[in-house]
Amino acid sequence: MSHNYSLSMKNITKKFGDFTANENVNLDVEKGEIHGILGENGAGKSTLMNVLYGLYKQTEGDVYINEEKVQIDGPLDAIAKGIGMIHQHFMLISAFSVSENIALGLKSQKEPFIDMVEIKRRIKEVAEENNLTVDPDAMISDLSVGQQQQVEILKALYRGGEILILDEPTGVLTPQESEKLFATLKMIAKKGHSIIFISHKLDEVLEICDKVTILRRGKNVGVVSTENISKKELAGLMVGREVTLSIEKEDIKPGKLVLDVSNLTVKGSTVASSLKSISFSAREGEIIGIAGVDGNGQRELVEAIAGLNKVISGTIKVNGEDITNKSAKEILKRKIALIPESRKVVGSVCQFNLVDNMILRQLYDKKFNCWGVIKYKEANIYTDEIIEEYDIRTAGKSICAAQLSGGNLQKLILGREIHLDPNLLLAMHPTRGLDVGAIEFVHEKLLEQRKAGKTIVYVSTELEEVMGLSDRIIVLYNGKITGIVDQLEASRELLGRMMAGEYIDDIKEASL
Amino acid sequence: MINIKKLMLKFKSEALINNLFNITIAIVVALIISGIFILFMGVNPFYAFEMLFYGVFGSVFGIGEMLAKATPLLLVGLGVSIAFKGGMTNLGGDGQFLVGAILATIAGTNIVGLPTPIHMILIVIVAALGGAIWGGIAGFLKAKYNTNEVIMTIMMNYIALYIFSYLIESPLRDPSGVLPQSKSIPIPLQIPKLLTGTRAHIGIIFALILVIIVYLLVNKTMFGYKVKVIGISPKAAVYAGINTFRQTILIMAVSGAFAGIAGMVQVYAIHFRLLDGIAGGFGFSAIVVALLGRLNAYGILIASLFVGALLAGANSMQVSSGVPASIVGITQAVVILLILINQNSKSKFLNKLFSKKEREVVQDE
Repeated sequence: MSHNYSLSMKNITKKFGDFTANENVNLDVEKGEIHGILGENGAGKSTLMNVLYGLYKQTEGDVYINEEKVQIDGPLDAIAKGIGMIHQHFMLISAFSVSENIALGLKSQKEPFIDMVEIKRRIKEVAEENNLTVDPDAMISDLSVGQQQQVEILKALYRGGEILILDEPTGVLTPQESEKLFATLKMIAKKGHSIIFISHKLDEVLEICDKVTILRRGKNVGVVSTENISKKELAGLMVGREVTLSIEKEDIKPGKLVLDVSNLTVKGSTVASSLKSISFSAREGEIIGIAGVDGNGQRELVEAIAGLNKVISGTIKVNGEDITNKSAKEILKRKIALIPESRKVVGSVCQFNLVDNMILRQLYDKKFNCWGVIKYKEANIYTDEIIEEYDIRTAGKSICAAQLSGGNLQKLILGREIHLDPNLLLAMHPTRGLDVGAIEFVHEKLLEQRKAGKTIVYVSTELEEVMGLSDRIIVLYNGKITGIVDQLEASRELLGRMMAGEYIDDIKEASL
Repeated sequence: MINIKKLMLKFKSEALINNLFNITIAIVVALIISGIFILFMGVNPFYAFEMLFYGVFGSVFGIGEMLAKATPLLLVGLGVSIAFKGGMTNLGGDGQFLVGAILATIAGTNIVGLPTPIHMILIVIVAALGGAIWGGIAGFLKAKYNTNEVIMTIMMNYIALYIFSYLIESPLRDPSGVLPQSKSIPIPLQIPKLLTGTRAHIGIIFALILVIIVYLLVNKTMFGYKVKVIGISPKAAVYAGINTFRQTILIMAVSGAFAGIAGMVQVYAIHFRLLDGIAGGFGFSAIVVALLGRLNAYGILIASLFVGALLAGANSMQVSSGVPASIVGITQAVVILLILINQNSKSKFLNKLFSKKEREVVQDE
């Protein structure tokens, strides 16, 4: 063999009952290579990685490490064989220090006592070797998300990880933090480690990976070198058809003031996500994008407007009426629609059929409620209408919501909320986890609403989408607004700096 | 389109058959385990079960006895199922039953001069209200302070029980009687018998009407809808604009009201007065009934007849074979355990135990 593959997965097939999640998938990673795995949700990326990490046992196929056939019996075995996994959601204990987290679960030289001195020495050694800046004594809770990720990487290296798997590592980072991560990864790869980089973001894959394996519906559709492929070609391979990557938007003159938020203070689940006296407004025919790293107050803001979270001080006015701290029912009556972050737990009732889910937000409406008896006849007709109009692919309206795919469930919620004929539409991560087709559909519908003169508050962590859709973009950091910019002014770099806590005025001043 | 519809029908009936299958297995396993205990007592279990069966279906009296036992179980079970649907466990059936019985007795023995039908309606309302308050307190504590309703309802049982004991010991005690018990219900107010020579009474017909009402309530009304949303996803309930605070209290109150009515029926049709031990663990057996009936009103009806038969048959089994009647307590407990384990275990072990098909669950993605 001419190549020196540190990892080869050959003809991996994984079946769950009748469902084939991976079919004859091949993956070859060389030493010192950063190898991307690209695919939409449900393409089989996670299944493949879970096979590699020993969480699933493949139905067919073999795994080779350093040209040697291996059998991986579980995560511990995977770690022993030099595979390190950095999960999307970090597996760190926030009340422990860095070194304690790294030592966790490892055998100590001086059982039953912990040899902290030795552990710290080795941490420093490994960190220096790989150019990571981590203080072993820092508490995890004091570290930023980017730093925590460095700890996760260090943890994997400390345990002798030769092959590192990173599962959507940039999802929780600002663009600047992502840059730093990429530098780190390139450094580690240079040292001879192999890195598997899982993502659905084309730009990132093109930027950092040497080669990309593309999966579609559980099958390999190709392995390409990133040197000679364009973003559009890559997208085409991933989705299996031509895609338009840009969002086309008509010019609309904003109408009268609809949403007026002033000095809003809300207690959130963490200090960072608690809103600290923020003010902004939105007009008819306007999409206001809310950008920011997850957990900086986006959910608190939307929930406060929708009446799901208590306002401590400040006011929220919609069409001139003060709705601060009104009940969710009262706010719903004023036609404020919400597409919640969690479509499965909040946005729908998974064990209910589609008809019951369709009336979820109109329980008090005379349309479906006659003296406390549900008008199922009307509800059935209404459901059929929305299924038709929003092209919801389903085996019928009597199946339960849990049986719908993510995209179809989101279409249902979107249709239901838009049919409320809302004055104000709050949309939280409406495209998260959807495939490209469904994302396009959601965008289309939101722009239709904008055209009809509706006001939309659009929360997303995907900067491309926020920049494409919004008329104005608000950046939240640590529960405060670091700046409000016009779509034309917005750039990845500018938004990224604001997402990391720099105020727009300071940035502008510095550039003068 | 037609094909899809057929598929749906198939799917539905498959789920139903699966349900029935699981329940049947649970009952059979429970009977086998009870049989082993009977064997230890030196009695042939088949003989014991034969006596149990014969005791119920061998005579009109036995069938009447089954109906008499099934009536309160059905009523309390319906109530319990509503709490379950709302994501709560109401173990306070006994307490709510007693409060209903107490208030119904007071209303029956102390108010005079009302026309009988109006008096009767008043008595039912008062009993329902009593149970509702007793259940509603636990609901309020849960809604307001997030206390565990399982513990609260059990504790409320004790409070009700001791209030009951105190009342029949002194304020409500019939001065002419030897035992601590209340004055008897005036004859015109007593619930008539269904079958002469048995204890079966027309309360069962009243209960049957409530079965239909509960079915409609759960499946066709906004109240039922809200109960189910809260039970499945409280966050979705808040999102839907439901006042979960008020609804939580209401669910427990409605649940308790059924037990309260059961208490009234038991006094007015069986005992005709308040006396020690009238609740007789119906609250517990009603949990079996609700779970066996899969929280479906019609299912609960069938389950209540089954458990009623078990309880009624146990007495004649004790007389003819010497096996203590309390053995059916074991049967009931094992049934509950099996059903709960099967509901909560991902592997659905009852299915696995008896079907060859191995089912792997598709995870993530």
